[in-house]
Amino acid sequence: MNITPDSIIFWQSGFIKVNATLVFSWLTMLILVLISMRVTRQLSVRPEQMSRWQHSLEVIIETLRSQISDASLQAAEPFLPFIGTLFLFIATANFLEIVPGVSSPAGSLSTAAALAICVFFAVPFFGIRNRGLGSYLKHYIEPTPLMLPFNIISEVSRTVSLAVRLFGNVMSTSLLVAILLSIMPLFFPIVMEAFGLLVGLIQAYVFAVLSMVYIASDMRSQKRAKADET
Amino acid sequence: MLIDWFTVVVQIINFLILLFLLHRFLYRPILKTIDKRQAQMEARWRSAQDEKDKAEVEAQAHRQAQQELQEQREQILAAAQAEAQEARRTQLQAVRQDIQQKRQEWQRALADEQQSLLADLQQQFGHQVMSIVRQILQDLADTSLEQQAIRVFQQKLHDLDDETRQAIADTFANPDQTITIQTALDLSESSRESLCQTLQETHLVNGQVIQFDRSSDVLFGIRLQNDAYDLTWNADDYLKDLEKALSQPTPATDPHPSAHHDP
Repeated sequence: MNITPDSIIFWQSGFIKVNATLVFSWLTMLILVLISMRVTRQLSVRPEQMSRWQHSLEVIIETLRSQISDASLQAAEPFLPFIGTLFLFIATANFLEIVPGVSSPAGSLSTAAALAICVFFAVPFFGIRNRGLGSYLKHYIEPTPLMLPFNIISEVSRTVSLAVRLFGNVMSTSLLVAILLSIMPLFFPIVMEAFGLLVGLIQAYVFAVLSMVYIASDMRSQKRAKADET
Repeated sequence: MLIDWFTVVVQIINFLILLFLLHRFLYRPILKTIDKRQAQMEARWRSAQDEKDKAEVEAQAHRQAQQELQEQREQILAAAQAEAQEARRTQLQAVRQDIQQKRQEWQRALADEQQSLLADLQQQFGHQVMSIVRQILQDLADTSLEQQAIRVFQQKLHDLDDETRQAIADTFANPDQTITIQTALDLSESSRESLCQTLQETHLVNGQVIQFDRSSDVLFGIRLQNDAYDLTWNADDYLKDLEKALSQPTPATDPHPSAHHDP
């Protein structure tokens, strides 16, 4: 049994290797992009002429937008592509696990680390875009420069926790299903698969919302600092 | 090692590619569609709101026009009622005047008719009474009554005032004229002498010829006459006077002197 799909290597040349994580990530990307392209090619403004796919995508996008607005307490549009892509990628990857022989790329610590690193860089990206480089960097030494190491540790630790939480939950669910499948091959694994889908969706939601909270809290702290200055 | 850094790098690149593709093919078109729909809905909402405002304005104008129409209707109705009332009053006045005039004419005609009827009745009554009285007097006339008439006639001759007596004497003074005494019955000789004597005593006759005659015109009495004068005491004269008096129409009296009623 493989704990992570990174260990399933289809092709390797030196340090370059094509493992299951990458393959299933591409599969996930392909599915998302193809569906998006297919649906958005025939978008209709009039509700009575909308397709079911368009309805579904609009519901997803609207839900994401409202969730982002609730978490950030500001307009969702600047964050929607990043947070939405995180959610859709993780959720779709977890859903793919229901297909026999397919492992969720989110169950790879490499993938979780990659996504967490993206969040790690997204936080300062949105912060700097919102206020500027100097002001953003300044908040690391506030309220006193003594807080600089703690702020850096905080940034790193929450990135690590984000990655490990996603990896641990998805991997544990996959392992649990696999173990139960070997112990009790009938009926119970089906329930656990459904449970796995739910856990996968929840993990996608948790990852996306936490990312948004990190970004938003960073921006709010900057706003608070700006308000204190004025 | 659970983390494969090559995979991490590739996954970061994959995520960025996916972010770009989804932004290009999913978020932007969907958000644009949603925004467009939202804009259309807002436009429709504004249009509906405008239509509603316009409808409210029109409804208000309609209500106002309706109210003005109602007021005009009430004014026209009031004017028509006043006009009808005035016309009714005028016509009633005319009808009352007409009725009053007709009633007065009717009353006049009735009074005339009544007067005429009363006059006819009086005349008939007088004639009837006179004929009865005449018949009675004719039936009662006899010598003794004649004697009584002669005495009355003689007394009247005595009672004449001087002026009248002189006027009669002057008319009888012509000796060529014959003086006639007419009675209803033949007088006795003594009565004739008595009469002649009275005429002499009263100086009405002075030697003129006196002729006695019987006349049916004299009902009960004596007529003394010549060509120029006629002196008569006759019950028939009384009766004629009475008949004349009875024949006189009674002065007309208004049966409804104050019969004038305003409605």
